[in-house]
This record gives sequence, C-alpha cells and structure tokens, in this order.
Amino acid sequence: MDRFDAVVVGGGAAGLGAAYRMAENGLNVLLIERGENIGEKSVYGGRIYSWVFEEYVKGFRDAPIERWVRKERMTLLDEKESVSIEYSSDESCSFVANLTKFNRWLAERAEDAGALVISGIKVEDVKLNPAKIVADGDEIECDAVVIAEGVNPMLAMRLGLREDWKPEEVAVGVKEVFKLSEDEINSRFDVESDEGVANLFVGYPIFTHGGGFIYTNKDTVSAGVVVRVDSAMNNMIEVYDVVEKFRTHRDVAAFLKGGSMIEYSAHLVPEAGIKGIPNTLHKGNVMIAGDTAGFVLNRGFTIRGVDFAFYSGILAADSIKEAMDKGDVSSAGQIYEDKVRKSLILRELERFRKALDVLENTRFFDEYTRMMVGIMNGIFDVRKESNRLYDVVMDKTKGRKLRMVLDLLSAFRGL
Amino acid sequence: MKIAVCVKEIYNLEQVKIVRETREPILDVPKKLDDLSRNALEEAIKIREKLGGEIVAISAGSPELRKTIKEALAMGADRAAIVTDFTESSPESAALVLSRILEKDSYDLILLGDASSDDYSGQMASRVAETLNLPQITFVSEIREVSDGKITCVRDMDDYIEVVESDLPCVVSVTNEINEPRIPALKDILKASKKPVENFSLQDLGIEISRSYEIVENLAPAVDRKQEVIEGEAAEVAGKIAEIIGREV
Repeated sequence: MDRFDAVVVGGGAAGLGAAYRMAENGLNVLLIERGENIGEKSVYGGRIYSWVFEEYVKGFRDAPIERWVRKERMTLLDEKESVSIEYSSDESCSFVANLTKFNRWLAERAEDAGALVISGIKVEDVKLNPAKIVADGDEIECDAVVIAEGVNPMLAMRLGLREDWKPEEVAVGVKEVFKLSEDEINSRFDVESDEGVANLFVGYPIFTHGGGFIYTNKDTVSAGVVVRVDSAMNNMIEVYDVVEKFRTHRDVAAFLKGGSMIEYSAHLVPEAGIKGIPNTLHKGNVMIAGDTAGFVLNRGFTIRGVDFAFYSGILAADSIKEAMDKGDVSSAGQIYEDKVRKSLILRELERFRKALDVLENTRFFDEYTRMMVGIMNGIFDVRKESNRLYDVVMDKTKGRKLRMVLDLLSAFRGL
Repeated sequence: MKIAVCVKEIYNLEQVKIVRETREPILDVPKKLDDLSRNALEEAIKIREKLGGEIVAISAGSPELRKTIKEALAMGADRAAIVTDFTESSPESAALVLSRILEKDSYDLILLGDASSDDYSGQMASRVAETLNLPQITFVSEIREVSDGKITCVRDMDDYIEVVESDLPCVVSVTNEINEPRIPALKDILKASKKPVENFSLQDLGIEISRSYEIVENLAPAVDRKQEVIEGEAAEVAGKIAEIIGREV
C-alpha cells in the first residue's frame, strides 16, 4: 500500500488549504473527501475574506468569484418595516462565491501542485503512533493526519480531541438560491457586474440569536436565515417556516422577485467563538483544522470562517513541513498547536471574546431592533403633525433607558 | 482476452437544476461515468477474472474526462485511451472517434452500455460495429460464455429472450440488468492514479467533426401542477387528500 507524508481528511476550505500548501512544498499528500465530488458537502452563501487566498494561492484572481463585495448593508427588520445602513466603497476585501464551486477550483489547484485528491471515500478511523487512516477496511500510513472534516467532528470526537457541539454552540443556516439575470441583479442592487452586496438582517422573523442574509452572485442571489440551535428549540422556531417568512417579507422579496429557486441547502455553523475551541488541537501527529476546530468568528457585523479554515490548513501544512525539515516529524502536532495559538485566528477569536456575551443578549435581536425601527417610523411617519426627534426617542425608550445605555456600551466595547 | 470498454462521461443528472420559469437546465455540475458504462465495465472485469487479459477504457469527451476516466480505472480498467477535445458530440461523430481509437489496437471484445442516461440515443454499439465491420449483439442482459473465439449472449427482448452466438471479435452492448457494478474502494482509487492514460486529440486521429443536425432547444418537460393547498388538522387533511386521490385514480 502507498505511503504518504500526510493525509488530509476532508475537502473543504481547511483541508484544501493543507493539501494545497503541502503539495506546493513538495510533500507527498493525499486528500480524502467523503462527498461524491469535492465541494458537494460545502454549503455557504456567502462572503469570503480574500486576504488568505491573495497571499497563498497562485492565480487566485482566476478563481470562480461571483462578485466582489462593494456594498455592506445591515438591515433591521420588523414585521412590516425595515431600517438599513449601507456602507459602500470602491475597494473590496471580500468576495461572494459559491463554496462548492470555489472548493472545486481549489482542489484543482491542489492537484496541479501535486496533491492526490480523491472523493467519494469515507475515512472511518484515524490512528496514532504511527499516524494512519482507515477507509474501506484498508489502512494508509503517513507521518501526519490533518482532520478537516467540517462541523460534524466524528473523527475528532473519536480521538477525544473535541466534544460534540452543544445546541448553544452551533447555528443552523438555510440557504436558498434564486436565479435572476446578471443585468437584473445589477439594477436591483445598484451595482456593476463585478460588484456585489452583502446584506445581513436582524430581527424578523426570528427575533433571537441569528438573522437573515442576502448575497449577490453573478446571476443568482443567495438568501436565507441562520438560527442558533438552542434558540430555535426554546422558541419553537421551525427553520423552514422562518425561511419562508424571511423570503416573503416585503423588503426581502423585492430583491428576489421573479427569481426561480434553484437550490435549497442547509448546514451547521459553529458559533461559539473562542469558547468553542478545544483545549488541544492535536494528538500526536493528528491535528484538527477549520470548522472541526471551531475557527469561526461572528462579531455581529461580520462572520468569518472560510478564510480562517483555509489559513488553519496552511498552518497545519507548514507545521508538518517544519517538523520534517527539522528531522523530527513527530513534533508536527505540537508545532501546529503553537502556531495556531499564536496565529491571527486565535488572536481574533480572543479579541472578540466579549462579543459572545453581547450577542448572547437577545434584546439586540428583538427589543432594540423594534425600537430602532419604531424611532424611524416616528420620524418619517408624517400625517399632518410631525414628531420631534426628542419626543420620538423618549417615547420609544420609555422605562428602559439605563438598561439600553448599558447594553449599547457593552456592544460598543465587545463588537 | 483483450477487452475494450467504451465508456461515456455525462453530467451528474441528479445535480442538474432546472430554471422553473424558462425550463432551461443549469449544467454547471460535475461529470461522472454513465451508469450503463459501469455495467459494461463490470462485465469486462468479470470476464477478465475468469479468462485473464487486459481491459482498456475508451472514451471521448471534454477536458474533464481526464478526471472522469479515473472512475473507470478505479473500477478496474487496466489503462485508458481517450480524446478530451471532443465537446461537440453527436452519435455519428462519437462513433467515429471511438472507432478511430479502437482501430489503434486489436481487441477480442468491445463492450458498451446499451445507451447513456443523458441522450439515450442508443446508437453507439451499432455505429461502432458498422464502422469497424464487426458483428454486434445488442440489449445483452447476460453473457453466458466466452471461449474458443466465440461469445454467447442473452438478448432481452422484453417479451422474450434470444440466445445469440457470435465469433470474436464482436461488439456487445449491455443493459442495466446484466450486473451490479462494483464501487471502487480507496486502494482501487489510489491504484487508478498510476494507471496509464493515453490522451489523443481529434487532430491526432485525423477527424473533423461535422454535424448533420442542430439542437434547437433543450428544455425540461412542462409540468402542470394543480397547486392546491390543503390546510387544517392532520386527520382532516389526510381525509381530503384521500378523497382527491380517490377522485383522480
């Protein structure tokens, strides 16, 4: 049986980062994906921050990028009204991509670099000392294993590297994709062909942890809802129901009107930030990366995961290379641990530790969203007599000013 | 025995989406080896298991075929000979390309699927056999015997069966009842990555593609839905559904 320097389990952003980087560095690497094709299990709306791909992937500008995000919109929704804030810029640091296609492209780059990428095979077990993987009853030995199996950490759990997610640590996201023409999207969202919009929604229809999203692809629009699993359970929220409500809200439907729904998919998203990172990210020369390790940062305004995943794969690859170069390959796991703990990923997650407490506060998703919409209504709803801003704000914040000021202060500090 | 198996890459039809308004398919999906090609290949592997020999997977398709053909190698073909700049496919041009590849070697048996699950034109076996001037047996649901330069096959004619014997070399096309294709394991896939693939261009084969027809439209069938929504308590709804089904049947 063949022997490899390293085996990567999972062909998502993290696994592909590891396989691509190792192949670039001349390592003999095998990536095994469980889905029939690379990308098939990847679900993401979604906006991806480009820095890591610009830095590490040759020819990245040829990747299947749908649109570069030039407009950021935050929308507070209630049943009938909405308030939006838009930020627009002629520069962009993120792009919208269909992660399935994007990962397929990354896999081709990894193969071009010399990685062996195979799909349709489930890795049943990972063993230590020496590191090996088991699939279809066969064992493949290697110097190191990178587990990048995504949000369902079956192998990581079996190795005792992490526990399964608790309901309050993950959200369920549902995405629908609507087919429209490129011109229609340009005019509806007021953008040029290579420009895109990322629009996050808070409030209706869930009024609790999570929210809605709209992202513009080239000639499709992705829209959907993310709800934290415990909140969905406690509030008897049925995901299909809120997706329907979101889609049919006047201010959402306006963007999707006439579009034929061509895709419906759902996925879990780690939401526990720094608290979801296990105490150790390696065992011997087996290391965990991406969603498996919980490398997702939600700070309310932005959600990052794909760039962190890819980057953690790069770090795993570099650790293995470094250990081999040192002549002590068995140290790869520890090197990875040290690298990640010192890396941008953990620094960012640590910096936004307090964001977790802020976002835990459901008043932002319900009370304050309605309050803000109500204030706007008070200002703009002119029927003969108009209201002074002072009166509107005093009326809408009656009896809850102190709590609100404290909450806003915490948000200001935490986010 | 030297067996050629002509295989076809098709769009993964399970993933093709239809734009409801225009009924147009969105073909931006990965390709895969056609199911009936797998049946043909499986049959070749069974013959090789009994008689020994070599299996060559033959195919013509898009540049993606370089990847798709690995499925045939993983299943058990020993090597492959393919054309990957053949994108304007029609049955007659496909048969011509396959025949040109087949002519480069000599085979005892040429196996194909009866039709492919995308176009389902079902012409390939006959066209290849005619081009190469070989006997052909189609609709084969069982290969009874291969020995002494002869092959005996059972043809499934729906209402009856025919048992046909032919001299080798011969072209045989199989139905999906003939076997259950094996699913390659990890070690087979790893082995496949090292098997030789000969890649020809149409120019190498001296072929210029011409088309005798043009596809005017490619649309999903129109489906009229009644769009009746039944609301109420489960028992009540079930009753109404039963009533409607009763009326329709």
